[in-house]
Amino acid sequence: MKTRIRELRAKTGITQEELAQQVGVRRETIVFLEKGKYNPSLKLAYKVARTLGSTIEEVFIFEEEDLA
Amino acid sequence: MKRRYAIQIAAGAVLSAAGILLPFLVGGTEALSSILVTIGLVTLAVAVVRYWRFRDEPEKDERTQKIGAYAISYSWLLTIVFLAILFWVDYLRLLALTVESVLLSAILLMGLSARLFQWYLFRQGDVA
Repeated sequence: MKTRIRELRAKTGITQEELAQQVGVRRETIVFLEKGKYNPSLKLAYKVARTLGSTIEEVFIFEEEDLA
Repeated sequence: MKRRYAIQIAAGAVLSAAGILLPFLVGGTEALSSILVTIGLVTLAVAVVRYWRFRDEPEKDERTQKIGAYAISYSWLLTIVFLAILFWVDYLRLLALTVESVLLSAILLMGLSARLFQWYLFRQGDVA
């Protein structure tokens, strides 16, 4: 899974720590999300997308192999 | 500082102080005093380490809870295998096992392996 969190964060000028605080997770979790190493729950994905002013599909990009 | 850490630090300090003062106020309370000081210092140390490590961040979230649950599951599975091996070792009389040694080894294996699995999975970032 790929994410556009880093790019969207840069656009909105929000830091990893601020994003973590707003969605109620540890900063480490945002780091792993940005690296595409953590698959978030639907709830967390929604919160992240809403905080970044986007939709889940715009923030999290699933590839065919991820869905297999 | 989170209210929780402040309360834990204060409680640890109060318990330690009470433990130090107790033998001067009441005679024959050395054992109770040492217990109080130990509990107080452990409480204080745990609170300070948590504060230093987490500050205002949440201590746990969905990722850490998921990893924690998986690590405990893996540890439980490992212990089941270990106990099955011990059963056969005892059944085939390969080794004379005492109840104490079996219990102690199972307790240590569960505790240590859970921490080890957690450490490994936290480095990975996720479990799947």
